[in-house]
Amino acid sequence: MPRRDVPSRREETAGPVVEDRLGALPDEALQHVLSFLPSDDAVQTCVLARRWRNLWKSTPALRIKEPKYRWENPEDMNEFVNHLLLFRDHSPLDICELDSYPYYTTDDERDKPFRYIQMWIRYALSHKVRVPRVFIYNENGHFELDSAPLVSRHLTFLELDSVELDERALDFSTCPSLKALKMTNCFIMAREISSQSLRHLIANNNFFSRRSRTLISAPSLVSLQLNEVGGRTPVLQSMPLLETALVELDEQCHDNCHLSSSGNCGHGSCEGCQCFPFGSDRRVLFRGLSNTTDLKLLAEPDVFIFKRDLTLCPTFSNLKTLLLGEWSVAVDLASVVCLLQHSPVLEMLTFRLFEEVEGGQNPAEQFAHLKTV
Amino acid sequence: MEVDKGKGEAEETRKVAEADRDTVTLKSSDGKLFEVSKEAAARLSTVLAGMIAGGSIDDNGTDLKQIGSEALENVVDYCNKHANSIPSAALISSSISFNTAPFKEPEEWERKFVDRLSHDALFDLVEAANFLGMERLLDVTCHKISEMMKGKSPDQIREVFNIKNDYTKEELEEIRQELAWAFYDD
Repeated sequence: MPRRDVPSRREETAGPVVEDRLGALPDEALQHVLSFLPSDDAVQTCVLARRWRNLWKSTPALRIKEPKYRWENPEDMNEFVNHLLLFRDHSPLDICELDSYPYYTTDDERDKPFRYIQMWIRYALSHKVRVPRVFIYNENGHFELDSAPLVSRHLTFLELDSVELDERALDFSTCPSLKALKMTNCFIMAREISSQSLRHLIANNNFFSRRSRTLISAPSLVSLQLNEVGGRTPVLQSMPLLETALVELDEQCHDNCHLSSSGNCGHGSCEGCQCFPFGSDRRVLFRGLSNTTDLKLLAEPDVFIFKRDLTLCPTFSNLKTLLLGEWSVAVDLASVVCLLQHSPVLEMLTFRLFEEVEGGQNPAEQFAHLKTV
Repeated sequence: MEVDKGKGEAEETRKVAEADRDTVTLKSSDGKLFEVSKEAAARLSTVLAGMIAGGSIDDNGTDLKQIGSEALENVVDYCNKHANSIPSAALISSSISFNTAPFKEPEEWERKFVDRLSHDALFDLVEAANFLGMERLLDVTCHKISEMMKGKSPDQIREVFNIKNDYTKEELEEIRQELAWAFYDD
């Protein structure tokens, strides 16, 4: 790549272009450029010039985005993607983004937009995809990820939106490189979310099963966000490396009872007070959270999971920053004091009592005061 | 960042500096010298990382004969800016970069960094990043080029990049028939 002798036109952004600098780049660089384009745009570059005829075939990305603006109906989109996967060469995929076609119908064909998605995901995995993102529009019909575990040595980041996840769909024991998992608006009926390598888990507004608790077994986790948990709060197994965690249990959380603050009101008909882990460790969340340095616990007042876990007198030996939501004032003060007494290095405590008002106190004073209780 | 001193004086300064200093000096094809954070250079460029590890870094300015001073200045500028930005390990835990980082999309400051470049400076930088094995800088520059192509017709793309259409009419017709599944809107 010898330096060309062209005068600098640095300040002149709209200067006339006289040379085909793009076409002069090596194939890999052009494929890199194509990998950022939606796949249909990438394929269409084949008509630009001979140089471009086959470049799309080895582009390391599959990006199916905003399908509604690109295809008239789901059949056209299915035809495009199926042809693309059939005619591209066998070079590996790095990134795969799949948005399903937003399709509204009452007829029997409502699975049309999802018909091939499972197959496309399998294709991507078999082509060494590192970063897949699947986004489902589920206004009618739903998409259920294959209930067998995914198998890939290359998968590092997985993002799922509005996907139904059953059985062993979230068993990642056969994905040893998985580092981050993000799930939004998913229905999680899986028995277990398990991965030895997972470091970051973000779960926003997901609905878990009402009848049984999903177990999260991820011993390498460093950060955890469970926002707006619906259904049963999942059970966390030991997470010795976990540093920051946010758990938010809103009104959709099924673990609520207005009679009991610890999930044992004794009424057989109370659906809230059921479904707890048995055995020597009965904690739902605090086993996994006990090594965190930065912890945020938010819940509706009737949700009793935190209160129940507190009665088991957990220890937070590394906890420095703690944020507690409304639920903490509904519980008796002794439990909160117990929590603070078992947090020997706590530096900052904040109560968030209403959405807009944050009641932050001088942390040192607050803690010094409570220590003496 | 530029160390455009008289040669003798510059050499004097460098003799004083010990071998284990935390910057490396790079020399462009037209002989200009630039200093860059050793840590950032090793992290962002596989080629420079190899040279640093292999001890083939020249304290008087490592020769990069393939890269002109304007492009090298941008490379060095990018490395130093990157060194000052949030470390990439911390990025993934915040949900904002969770949405962009794995998908190789540029951060805001990276967008601004390439937006100010002229057409030629952008391509000089792609070539330099490619030569130095700078994956992230290639992401940022190639993303910029893809943005320049997005939503444009083949004719418009040819115009922006001065691409000469060397197909015959018959060849083009043949391609469109062969790939009818990809030209749905015609």
